[in-house]
Amino acid sequence: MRASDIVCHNLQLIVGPCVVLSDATLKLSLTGITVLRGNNGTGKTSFLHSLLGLEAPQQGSLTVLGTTPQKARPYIGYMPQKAGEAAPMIPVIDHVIASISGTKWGFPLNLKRRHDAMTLLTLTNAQSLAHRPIGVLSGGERQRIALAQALSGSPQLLILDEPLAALDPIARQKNLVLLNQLHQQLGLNILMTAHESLTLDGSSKPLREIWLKDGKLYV
Amino acid sequence: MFEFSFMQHAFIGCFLVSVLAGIVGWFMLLRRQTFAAHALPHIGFSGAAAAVWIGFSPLLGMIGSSLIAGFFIAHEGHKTGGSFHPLRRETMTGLALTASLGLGVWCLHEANTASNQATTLLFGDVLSLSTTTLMELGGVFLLCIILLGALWRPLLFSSLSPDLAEARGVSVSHISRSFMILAALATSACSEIAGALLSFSLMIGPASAALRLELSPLKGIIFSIIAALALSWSGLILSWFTDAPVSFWISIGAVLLYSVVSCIQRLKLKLFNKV
Repeated sequence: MRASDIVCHNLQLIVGPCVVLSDATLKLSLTGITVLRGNNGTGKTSFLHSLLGLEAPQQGSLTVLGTTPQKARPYIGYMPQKAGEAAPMIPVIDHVIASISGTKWGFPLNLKRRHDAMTLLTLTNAQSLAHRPIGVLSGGERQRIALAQALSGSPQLLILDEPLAALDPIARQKNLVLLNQLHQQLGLNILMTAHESLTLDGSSKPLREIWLKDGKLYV
Repeated sequence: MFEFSFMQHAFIGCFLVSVLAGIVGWFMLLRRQTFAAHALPHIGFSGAAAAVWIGFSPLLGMIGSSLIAGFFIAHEGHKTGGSFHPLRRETMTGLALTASLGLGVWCLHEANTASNQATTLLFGDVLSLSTTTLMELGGVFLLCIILLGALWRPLLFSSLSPDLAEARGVSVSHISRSFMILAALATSACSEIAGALLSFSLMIGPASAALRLELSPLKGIIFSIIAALALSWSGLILSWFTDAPVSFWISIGAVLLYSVVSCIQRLKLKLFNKV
């Protein structure tokens, strides 16, 4: 399994009043599931946004998967913190279909997209939810839909912002097991933020953690 | 009724604006821009009033003022606004509406126009569509369809999952600006038929029923177009027989449509819960 490298050189990232990273130089090789931790307001989401090219650093350089964050976008799957809130009345499958080739111009003529969307929903054990409006789903179910959307485009690296937030312990463990399955079956590396202490069922070994604190990333 | 050329023009005009209203209205409602859908035709009224004063076609005046306002509304950018974006957009919409209504009244005053001209702008006069106006409507229709065809996928993606779309490289702020241009053009065309005050009903009525039915985007838009067409054409026919204004029948029809759809949905929910 190939590592997904994030390389920072003298990186300065300030978002509003928050100093996310100050003069950071490091190479982060992500393999398996890595959990990004940090107190509220330390800039975890801003750091993830910088990896996606949504927040520009004030100085220094940042490369993701060997290229600039903007050029790396096709190889990264992203799951935002609050997914599925914009259009609650639209069926689940249409959210997933829209995320397949949604960046291209024009009217879609490819009828295979529905089939591809069902495949993605099957991967995240959400195929039975395909025709329900996304607004009626529980938090855990919505996370699985957002995960299916993140998987569209066959990414190498998944960046998940609080994928286990606001879930009860059973739903949290279920989704964590699902993430581990995706990592093992598809060879995906996963970087996710979380506040909870996480271990996979059947193993007391905690997941790899990195910490964001006082403008520094502790690997 | 079909032997008169003014009725033929009216039916063709209604067809053109119903297709536009069905599609653009659906997207406006999905993107929670109902206030903009309400405000843009009113803003168009001031442009039409200015055009009357200067001696241009009212439709061109409507398009011009709606486009300027649409630009300002969309300018409250997604990126700079962050989570404040919806509030700033609504505020800008309100300000653009207030300023343009004031300007519209002043233009009508300066033009010293007869009050029936203002009434026509506010309530529409589909039965007096000239061939020139119909050609202008056709041009707006074609432009909107081309723009919609080009924007379709990123517009739908950024409407359903804005954060994900932005992370994938869709320029959400550019899409918003382009969509407001589209909305300005479509609302101007609708105002020509239903008037500045009631074009909102043709934009929002059918689309709200489609969204209430929780249909997929394509099915919802097709439903919305057919419903808009049914409302405008039946409005024309009823107006012919009753002498009441077309826009009256369109607005009543829109409310009735939504009420019926709501009842159907509630009934479906009850039956589903029983099973």
